[in-house]
Amino acid sequence: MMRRLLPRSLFGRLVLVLLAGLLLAQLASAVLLLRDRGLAVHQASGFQLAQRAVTVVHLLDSLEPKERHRIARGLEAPGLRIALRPEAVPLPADGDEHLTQRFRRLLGRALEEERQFSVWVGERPPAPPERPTRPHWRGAPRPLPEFIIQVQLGDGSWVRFDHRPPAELFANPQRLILILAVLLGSVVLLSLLAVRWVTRPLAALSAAAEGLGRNLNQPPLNESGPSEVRRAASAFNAMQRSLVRYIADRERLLSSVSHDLRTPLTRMRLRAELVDDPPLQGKLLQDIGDMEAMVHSTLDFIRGSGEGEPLHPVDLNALVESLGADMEELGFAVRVVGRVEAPYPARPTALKRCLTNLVDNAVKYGGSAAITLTEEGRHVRIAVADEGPGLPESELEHVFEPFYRGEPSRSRATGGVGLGLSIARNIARAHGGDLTLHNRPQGGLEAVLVLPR
Amino acid sequence: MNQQPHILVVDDDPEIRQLLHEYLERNGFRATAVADGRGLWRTLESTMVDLIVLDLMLPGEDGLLLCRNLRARKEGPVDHSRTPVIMLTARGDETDRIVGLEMGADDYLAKPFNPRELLARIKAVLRRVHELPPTEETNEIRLLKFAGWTLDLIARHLLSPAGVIVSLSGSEFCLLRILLSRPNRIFSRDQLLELCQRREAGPFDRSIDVQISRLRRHLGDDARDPAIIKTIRGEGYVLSAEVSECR
Repeated sequence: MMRRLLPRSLFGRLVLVLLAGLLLAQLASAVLLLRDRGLAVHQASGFQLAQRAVTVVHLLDSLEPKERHRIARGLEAPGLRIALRPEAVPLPADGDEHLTQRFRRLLGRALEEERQFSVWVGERPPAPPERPTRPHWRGAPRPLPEFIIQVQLGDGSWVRFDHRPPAELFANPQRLILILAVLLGSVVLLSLLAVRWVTRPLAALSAAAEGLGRNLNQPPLNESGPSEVRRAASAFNAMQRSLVRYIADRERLLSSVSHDLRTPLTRMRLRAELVDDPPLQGKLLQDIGDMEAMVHSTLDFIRGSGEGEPLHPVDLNALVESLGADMEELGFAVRVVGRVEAPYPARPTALKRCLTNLVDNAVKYGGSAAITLTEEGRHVRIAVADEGPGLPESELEHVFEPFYRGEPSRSRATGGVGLGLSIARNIARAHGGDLTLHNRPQGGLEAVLVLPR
Repeated sequence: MNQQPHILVVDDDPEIRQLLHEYLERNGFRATAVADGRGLWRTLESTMVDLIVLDLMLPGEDGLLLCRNLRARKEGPVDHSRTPVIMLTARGDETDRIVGLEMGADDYLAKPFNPRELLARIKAVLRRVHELPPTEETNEIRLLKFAGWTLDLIARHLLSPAGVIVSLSGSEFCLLRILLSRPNRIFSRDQLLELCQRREAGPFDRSIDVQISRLRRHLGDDARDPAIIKTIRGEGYVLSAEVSECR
């Protein structure tokens, strides 16, 4: 579940983590800030109220009871009501315990002398008709803080203060929120830039790794940027160098073995030609032929799929026909059906080797070859079919592996090394196409070479 | 070829030298085998040689250098600058092939070679030299241009006027090369067959007429009214086009 929600790319994940973290931190600091500010405002208005209450209490104490009502009314202010009561009334119980305590201490200190008093601090929904308050966030009316004080006057009667600080004081300060939003926005923007900056070398690295699969000799990565990136690039380049060296070593080994075999093979051929025992000579020549075929195909394999050869437009019809004609001269039955219209841009020598291997296989294993050329939309299809026994389905893919040999009887009869099809497929893929094998329903094997236009 | 042709073999492997010597002698040639360039020059000073089989990789002066020097050398008791050379090269190595032919070899054969193939090539080259004495510098030509087409003698294919590679079978290439070597000369079917018999045994060789008609199709030549390869009734074929040679 978690995994499905996570973005796939490193870029996305880093951005997500950074954004989530930043958002949380901003929210937390906003909450803290607003709360502290609320407390401070509360305390300030509590202090102010206490001072005022003490002044009023002293003033009322010095007045005649008859005058008190009039003066008390005159001392009222917006948000502050002053009422004179003969008795104290029990205060509501739903106040804020903590704030009430704090305010009680504050007021006690301000009164200085021993007097009976009680306080209540809490929140109440604003009374709508009392005075117009600005609608807040368009939601339900926010409860507003309210202070109630009852203090006993000198003559035993009580005065009660109902104080509501102006709602604006406690409204969410829009300026503060705006500042936080601007801060958040700029940090997000910066982190996006930073993440892109960090992940870009990674993208270059992955592109290089991908390219390496196709071209081992691609130019090395640029070893620049922050030290981690530089190290990764230089490690990658070192890996590429050792790969190239390894493959070159392997090829040199194979090719020097194959080259060195040529002189003894030439001698053997000459010796065999001088043998006067025809059956023995036939067998020797057969063996030598097999060995030569191995050397040839190994060298072909090393030579690769013709990447070094430039592309050149080739008349595929003529290519297939000339191959057929050459095979016919060697006594094999080769038929060519169909035509393609336009020339095909190919690596001529490599493509010829590819098709030669297919036709060779067909006549070797199947006794004959029927080559069909078809233009299929954006592809050219060249099918080489034989009338032999075909291959078990399980072998159809295996035979493309280098040095793979099918049943022993097949390879002994024909003396291949098991490279012909690997070479052919490599060449097909180097042309952006592919080579596959199928058993034909009417019997025989069909090799299908598909080349993209 | 009334007498036994004299073949000079240059190869640094003593066994191959000796075996080739014996093989060629058995097959109706007179053979001399030497190890390197010095042996080559020594033999050439004293003897008439019909064909040289030259190994490309030799200690000291290599085959390419020897071949070039041979072509350049016109003094001495006998002029050997036109003696045909068959070069033995690494297998199918395109650069060896190109360089070998540019240095003036008449044919090349990749090692390990089939001795019967070598025999066939020797006979073919001797026949060609006999029938078609080499024109000046003929050996350094790489491309033959005619009627907008180009025959690449090294890659052994045709290039169409639009620059498309048109592959030729071995026999088609050989036929076209012969016809192009003497434009406007009539070749009989027998002559063409003999000059193009690439292998000793040719029971499967297609008749010359079939090859010619395929060549015409490749060249886009109308069989009923051919413009490039014309049929001379009762005589044979003739290539009717201006041929220019390029390196």
